[in-house]
Amino acid sequence: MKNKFKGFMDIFKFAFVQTVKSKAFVVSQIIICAIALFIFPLITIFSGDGEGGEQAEIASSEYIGTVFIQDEFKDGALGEVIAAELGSSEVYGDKKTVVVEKDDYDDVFSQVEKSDQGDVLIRIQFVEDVNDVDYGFMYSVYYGEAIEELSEAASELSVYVDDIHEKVLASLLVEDETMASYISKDFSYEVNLVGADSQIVEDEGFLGQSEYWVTYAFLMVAIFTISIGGSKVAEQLVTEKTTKVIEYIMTSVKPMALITGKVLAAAASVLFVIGSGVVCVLLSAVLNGIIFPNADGSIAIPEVVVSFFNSDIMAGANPLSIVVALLLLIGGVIFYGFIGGIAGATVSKVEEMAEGMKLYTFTMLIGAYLPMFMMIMSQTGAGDWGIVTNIIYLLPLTSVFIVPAYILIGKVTLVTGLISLAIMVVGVLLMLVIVSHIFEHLIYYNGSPLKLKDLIKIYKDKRRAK
Amino acid sequence: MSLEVRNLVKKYGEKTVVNNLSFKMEKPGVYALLGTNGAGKTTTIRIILGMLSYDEGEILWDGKPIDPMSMNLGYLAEERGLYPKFTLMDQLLYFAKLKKVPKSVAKERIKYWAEKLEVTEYLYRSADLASKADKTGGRKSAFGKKKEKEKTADQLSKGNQQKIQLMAALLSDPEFIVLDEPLSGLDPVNADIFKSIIKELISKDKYVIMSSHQMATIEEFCKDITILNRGNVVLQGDLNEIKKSYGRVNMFLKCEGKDVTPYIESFGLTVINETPDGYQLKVTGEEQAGQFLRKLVEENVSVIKYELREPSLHEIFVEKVGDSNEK
Repeated sequence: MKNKFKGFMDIFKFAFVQTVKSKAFVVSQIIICAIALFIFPLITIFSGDGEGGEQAEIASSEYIGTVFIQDEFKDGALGEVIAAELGSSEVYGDKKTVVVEKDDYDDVFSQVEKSDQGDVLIRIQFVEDVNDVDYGFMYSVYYGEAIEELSEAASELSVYVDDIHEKVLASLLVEDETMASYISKDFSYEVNLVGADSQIVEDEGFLGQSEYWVTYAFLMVAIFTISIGGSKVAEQLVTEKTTKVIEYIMTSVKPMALITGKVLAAAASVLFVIGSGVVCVLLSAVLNGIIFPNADGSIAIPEVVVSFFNSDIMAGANPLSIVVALLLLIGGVIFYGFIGGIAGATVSKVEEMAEGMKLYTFTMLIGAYLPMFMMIMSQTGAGDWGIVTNIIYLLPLTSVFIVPAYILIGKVTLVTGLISLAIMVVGVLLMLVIVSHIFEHLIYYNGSPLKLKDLIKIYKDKRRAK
Repeated sequence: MSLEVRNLVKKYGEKTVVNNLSFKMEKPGVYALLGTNGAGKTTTIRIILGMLSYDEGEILWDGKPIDPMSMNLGYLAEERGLYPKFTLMDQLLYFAKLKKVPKSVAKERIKYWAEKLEVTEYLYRSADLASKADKTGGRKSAFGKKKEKEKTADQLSKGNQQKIQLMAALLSDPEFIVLDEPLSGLDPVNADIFKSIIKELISKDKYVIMSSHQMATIEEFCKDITILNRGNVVLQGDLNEIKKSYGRVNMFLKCEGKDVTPYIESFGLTVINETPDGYQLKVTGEEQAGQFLRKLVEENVSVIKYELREPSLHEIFVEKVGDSNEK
């Protein structure tokens, strides 16, 4: 097995260096970096102030009318403090807050259901029994369906309440020392739509506007990365096949080492482009802050950048989840790189490459469009597709396009991300097995482009021969 | 050292492309693998080089199963290729690296072979060649000339590309070299350069397997041969012995004055070829040839040229492959 991969680093280094040295790469890299570097100053110039992010956030909360708070924990100890916190916050400071008694729940619930003023209810519950599945604090935010935009506002409100939970408990410590024991208790939140006939629908699959754009931006980056990466592998293999350089290389390395080196080089080069683009965008934010400083002369970082790193949006971002998301993206690029490699090897002439790449393009489109469709549906509040959602999260073909972003925004748990990553690793290994069976045949193949059924036949023949 | 191929079989589906091939190279030198197009030569070469798997048989190097990946071998493929847009030096250093040749050694060897193959001007910028004292290294000169770029493969003629590929094959100073159609497409001058390099490899006791359609070249370098046809061995052994076994049955004859056709017919000789330079005749042996010559002299035929020799490899090849195809 080790012998099969011997020399892949040499292939990787050469392919990577030659790609990075190529005129096309250098020119595209300069263009991408130039655009990324000046994007914020240009937005500031053309928009007048560049404060779009802040405006968008405030606009979302404006749909909220009265915030009712019903606290069922310890004689309503938290309700008043949360109301005070909301009153002093920048976003919810102008909202009317009413702390309601436990007995008034039905009336308030009914009011929220019928309200066209954006009234919402925050219900605080506590379950003491550690064996209970609902153990700990639970913040439930209820809103009616009269105002469409209220769902996102409610979602953001729940995140805010979740954020201040520990601060609220800590503030009560002065009067009640027993509160210290509650600080370590679990806490969670949910957002519920109160529909017709007071039916409660949990907004599990809902995607907020900001989350949607973060996920959408990531999906576009993933499509770009995977598309370029796979085509790069295919293009290099077709070039080596048509120029017959492959004949020489095959005397030094095995086909597995060749394709592995190529796939890793393509992955590294596109990730290099993406990475440098991201760095340039961040530099652009700093540059913008220097060119257009705050009134006091300090550097003004655009709100969109600040809000991107704000835990409200990147709720799931922590060092481990970032690593998992990154590994999943890299794994996806490698997975699709192998498919690109197989697609490239089915072709013997450069002019037939488009035909050979049909398999790759088709596979990638399915992989990208399924999560994209799910994401769009999520924004409408109809995101829970049951088992289909789980398949999209776990299948290597689709997971790379959505799971990394969803991990970061806290839409899927880290455990789901880890399972997805594990399946991705299995997927990559499976691709290696398939490649090991058919690639030798493909790289010496000279003829019209092979179809999927031909590849399956080759695979079966090789397995039978073994 | 020795190379031994034992009962090698390679199949593509139901089709057997190499059928029970065996041969042995016990001493350094050049071994010829001959055959028509599609005879199985390149497949055999690819199997020996570890590029293709095989169904039956074994290949031994120095008595042990061959492991091409851990061996120092060189290969000039029949279908030549270089990366069209990468510089020649980058490619050669890459190929050397794949063979685990240190960069400094590779550079020395590139220089050596570039001079031998007369391609120095394509590998080095003229500024580098002219003087190392000029620290500008080919960048903008005092006269404002643009930086001179290194040559890429697509800027070279086919013959020069072939030279670069031969360099790539020899960069690791391999002990075992496979040359698949090394002289095809070369002009006579470049063919002579290639021949001189093959001679140098022989003098350095390298093991070389050569495939060629140019029989004269094979006769020039090879002691042992295998002729393949449709995957089967049709002739194998020491070339001199093979020729001897045929005997001196090829007669070349050029006469002046009298028409010799009646004498040829009376002796029942076969005319293989008739050219302005004379006749190429097939005789049964040296005795018949002697009787025929005596007859011509008795009849006062003016014989300008007379030569009796063994059949050429070309003739043996055509005969064997032709016979095999007829069967």
